Amino acid sequence: MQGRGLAKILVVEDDENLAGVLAGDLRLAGYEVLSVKTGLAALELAALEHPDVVLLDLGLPDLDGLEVARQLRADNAPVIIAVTGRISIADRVDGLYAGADDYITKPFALEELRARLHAQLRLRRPHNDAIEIGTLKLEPHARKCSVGAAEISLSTKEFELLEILARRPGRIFSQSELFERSYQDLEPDSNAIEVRISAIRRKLRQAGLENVIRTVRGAGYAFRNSD
Amino acid sequence: MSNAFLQPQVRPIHALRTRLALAYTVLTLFLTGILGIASYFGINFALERHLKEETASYGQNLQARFDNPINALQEKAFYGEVYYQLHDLDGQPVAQFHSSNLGNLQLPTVNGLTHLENRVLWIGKTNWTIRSRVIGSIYVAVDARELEQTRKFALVALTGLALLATLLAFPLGYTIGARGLKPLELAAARAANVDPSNPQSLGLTGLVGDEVGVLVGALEGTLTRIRDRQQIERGTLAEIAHELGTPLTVLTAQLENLASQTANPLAISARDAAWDIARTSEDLLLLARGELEPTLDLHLLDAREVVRAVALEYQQSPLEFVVPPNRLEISADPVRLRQAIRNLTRNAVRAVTNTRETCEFRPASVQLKLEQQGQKAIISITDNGPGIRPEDLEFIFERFYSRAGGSGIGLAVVRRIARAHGGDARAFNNHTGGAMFVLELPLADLELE
Repeated sequence: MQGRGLAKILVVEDDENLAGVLAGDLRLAGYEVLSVKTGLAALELAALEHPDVVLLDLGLPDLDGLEVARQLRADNAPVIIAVTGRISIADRVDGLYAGADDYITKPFALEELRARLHAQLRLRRPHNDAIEIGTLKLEPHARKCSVGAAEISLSTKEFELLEILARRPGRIFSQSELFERSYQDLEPDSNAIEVRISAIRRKLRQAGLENVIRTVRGAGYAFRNSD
Repeated sequence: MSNAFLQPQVRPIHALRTRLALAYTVLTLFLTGILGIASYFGINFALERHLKEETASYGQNLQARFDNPINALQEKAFYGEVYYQLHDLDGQPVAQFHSSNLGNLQLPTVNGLTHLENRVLWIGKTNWTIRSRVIGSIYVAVDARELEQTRKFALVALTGLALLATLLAFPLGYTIGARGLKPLELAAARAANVDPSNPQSLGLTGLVGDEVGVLVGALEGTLTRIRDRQQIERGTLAEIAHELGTPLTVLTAQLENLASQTANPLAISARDAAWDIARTSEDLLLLARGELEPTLDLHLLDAREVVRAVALEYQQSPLEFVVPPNRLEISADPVRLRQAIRNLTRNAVRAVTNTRETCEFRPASVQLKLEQQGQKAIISITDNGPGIRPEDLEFIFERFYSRAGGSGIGLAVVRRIARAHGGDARAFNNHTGGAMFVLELPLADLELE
């Protein structure tokens, strides 16, 4: 895999034992690993080292884990995998809103963690933030979407929606969740999402990509995850 | 527990409102009766006294006048409508004064009244004395139509009043009772349906501070205290599970490394035990979280992948694993679904390995099978262990129901996860022996593009 051996991972974990185990295992798996114990140190080191992935424990001694995720996302846009052990139901959802790409709940198996890392790194090339799934390529900074060599012109909202879906293939996003994430400033309108989704589908179909976005009745939309 | 809405039934005849209304009615009848009888006799007494006094005073007048019998001859006009008769000691009329012949005034009376030629009379009797010697009787008759009419009217009016009061008392008492007791009935209906694992408020508002209000308030307070208590217990449970999270991750990771490096059976069994603890703490955390729905991280996924992932965890076990050749797309939280299937598989594997001695002639086997039935994905885990005791079948998915062995957590988690996904979990005994657990999940309702 292209990410392996090159990817730099920042482990933010205040438990020394766990940090040690994680660092050891990830190094063994071929990643370059940095490890810090506090949120402040994480932000400082992230600014210097530009890690590809931050493995972020949400229960940090100094800063709120979600706040750290927000700032990391704003500054460097690394892949963030939140590690939660906390009780609150809202944690995961909040973690994802704050910009975490995935989460994992303690206790977890290292194998599971490696699989998540692998999946995230497969989606994105290091230092580039681009998402590639098959022939579809999304470049969020440039707002560019292409299928193979052909560029597809999407509106800002269309691009946002496709990006949300493509970041987590298979994950079902309800209409209201999509709305909250992309139209924070607007009144909810059930039609808005539907209209954008069908526009995206039409454009992708013209470029030869069929059935990329699936509709699950009564649940929402999901990016195809069959390959 | 079945979800049929429980409605506590009170037979109408036993209803407190009926009994109260009946009591009010009887009381009203009694009181108005007493009052009516008293007023009737009061009125009657007053009128009769008036008539007695009237006739007595006429009698005395006559007495005075008949000291000299000559005076008597001039009296007729003076008394107008009053009739009188003088009798001698033998009761024979000797003189009378009236335009018409009234006959003997020694007539039978009914309730003091005498009916004579369409007249209603009150007859009073005084002694006729001359120089202190009784020589006969003086009968004075006055018109008493008024007394008769008043009596009739009073009787009708008082009886009517008593009946009316009684007739009003029942519906009024019933209505007031019903209104006052309505919240009680509602409270009973809702209290009967309180989910013991999640006792929500009865949701009765606008109660006045009467006994019912106090009772409902007390009930509400109890529910709140139970809820608070549960909240604390859940919190503690979650805290414990959380505290276990980090060390368990370390423990399992280290033992995993050790086991894979040395292939030492001791290390492997330690690793497996550590994973058991880790999974149990995961179950505890899930139960402690209470409602699962908001935490589901739904994915559109192939059910085969999840089943396969669990089967891979049990490679060392006598596990047979069957999936269909085609994708079965479901919308599910992969982590939670795997937890549910794993719990069932783990139970089955335990059931066959713990009891291998008892079924010595059959090799232990567990089958994990995924198939499609209509619009459902059916995941069944069948073992040839001892099976489930029939009396446990119904309760086996209840939280903390541990008679079947184990903590009563794993299966509760399975059912909760299944239901959160719009499916369900069931338990059966195979006719060939052994248990079968079935996890039903609806297939994703996909719309074609």
